[in-house]
Amino acid sequence: MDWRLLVNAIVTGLAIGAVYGLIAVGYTVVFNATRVFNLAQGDLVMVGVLLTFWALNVEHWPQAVAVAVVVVAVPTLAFVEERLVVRPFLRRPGDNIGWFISTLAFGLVLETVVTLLYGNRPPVAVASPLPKSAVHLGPIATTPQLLLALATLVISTVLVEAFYRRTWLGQAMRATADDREVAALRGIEPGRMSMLAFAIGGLLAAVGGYAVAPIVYADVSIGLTYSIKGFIALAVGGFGSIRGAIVGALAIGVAEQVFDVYADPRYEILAGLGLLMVILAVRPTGLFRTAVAREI
Amino acid sequence: MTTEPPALAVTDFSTGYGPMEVVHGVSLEVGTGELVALVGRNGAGKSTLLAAVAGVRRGPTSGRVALDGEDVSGLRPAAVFVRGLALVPEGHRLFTSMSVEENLRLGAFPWRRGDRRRVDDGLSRAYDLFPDLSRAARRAAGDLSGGQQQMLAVAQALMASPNVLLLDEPSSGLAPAVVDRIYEAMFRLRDTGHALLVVEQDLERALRSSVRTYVMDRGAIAVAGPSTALLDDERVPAIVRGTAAFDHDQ
Ligand SMILES: Nc1ncnc2c1ncn2[C@@H]1O[C@H](COP(=O)(O)OP(=O)(O)OP(=O)(O)O)[C@@H](O)[C@H]1O
Ligand SMILES: [Mg+2]
Repeated sequence: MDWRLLVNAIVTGLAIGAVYGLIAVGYTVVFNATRVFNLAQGDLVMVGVLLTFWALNVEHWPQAVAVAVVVVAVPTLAFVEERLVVRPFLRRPGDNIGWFISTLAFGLVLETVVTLLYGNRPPVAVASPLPKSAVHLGPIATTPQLLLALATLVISTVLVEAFYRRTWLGQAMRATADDREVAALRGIEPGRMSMLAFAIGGLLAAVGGYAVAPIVYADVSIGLTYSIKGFIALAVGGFGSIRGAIVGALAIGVAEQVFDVYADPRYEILAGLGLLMVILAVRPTGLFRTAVAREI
Repeated sequence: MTTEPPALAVTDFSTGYGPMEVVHGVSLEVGTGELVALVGRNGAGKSTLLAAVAGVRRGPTSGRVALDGEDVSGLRPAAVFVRGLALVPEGHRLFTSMSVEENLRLGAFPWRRGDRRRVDDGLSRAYDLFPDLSRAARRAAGDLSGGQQQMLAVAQALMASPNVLLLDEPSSGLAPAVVDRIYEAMFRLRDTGHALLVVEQDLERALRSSVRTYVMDRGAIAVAGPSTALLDDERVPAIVRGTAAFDHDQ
């Protein structure tokens, strides 16, 4: 076996992992403020990808306009989701997981609506603003599109972490996650915090959708797949930790690509699940234990 | 001559959980510079009353809550807090994943913009009141001892310098020496013009440290009066300790 094949699989895996990572970070931001897993997160990314496709391939709008459309539309959808299907469950005291069904349902509604609007076209590649030519990093060949996906993940993560650590609103969101009632008693409106969390989650989905559109195919069915893979990434990394989410996501991306090289790509999902089982056997809380994980 | 309205006036107040009413028509007052005690058996409804007065309602609520004469009934907890009432709930609840200083700063969240002075003043007052906290400023709140956590919970509630402070069992589960320090801090707050309403399960301590005591029984005020007078009233221990048959752990 040629070692270059392996190295390239790893590089591609990191880029694909970046896609899962953006979803996992979106999950984490929402979870940290609301204790809800937004199972429509992958579908929000799917909407971002398809809107990018529509703006660029169908309407032939300039890149800047496409970005603007996606960055406004996807967070708006997340905002609507929070209002319609999540808030009613947050208001109810005590533990309940009604959001599990309702966020999943919201994702399926998105898939249905997009299918109706978009029709049942074969998956197509989305136009990219970047050149198609390969980039050579020593012996490794990769594409600007893959590097863009990775860069988007890194930059988004740095910004989200800084937001949590350095801003009042970020801290208030963490406080709400720790104790929603005490937060309210100290003048932090929990409703505003969950709206904000969904808006940020939506923004991550929008940016992610735009950045990865050229490397994934414009297809409705990617939504649920991404939701699931992002969730597996969280479980590998440890729930609640942003760094954990990213490490988990990159590990799954790499595991899948390596699996594709040595085994059958059709069973790719087994790579992530296998990795999850190994990690959970060794560390039941995932790679990165957090205060959140400690409580559960 | 007009009489000043009290710092906190609760009038004919009822609340509960879902359809079940557990607090029935309670009226009480706390004036500026007063420390008032609220006592009663487990399950009498003390915590439910305090939380609902602070805006945390879990069922239909009626009656009036007024701060310095201003009606705040029906406002959400965040809005009640901004108007000068802070509740320290039972069990020193904190933002456990965050540091002591972050917890304190978040106590002044509504004043974060343009009012840095308020945040900084609050911090120095908190550290002055509880020097332990200033030594632990960078530690995670979840790693503190029970006593330190209770101090932090009180200090956090004080960050916005509220006029009215409701404290639900601030001494519960703490060593006697720590309880003394918490009460010393409460006396200082009383003497600097705050109005304090304290739920205390130690009846003796409640009567000795307060100017007035309300005794709650099955959701209603059964006895109320100056604490010195209630010290010799045998109805009070009978209500608070109850009969064995009705005692239950919470
Ligand atoms: N979350 C809840 N849901 C339903 N009923 C509740 C709930 N919490 C308390 N209750 C009931 O409300 C009544 C009053 O409870 P509450 O906690 O206010 O009493 P308390 O006086 O604070 O007691 P304690 O001294 O044990 O703290 C009790 O009968 C209790 O069983
Ligand atoms: Mg109680």
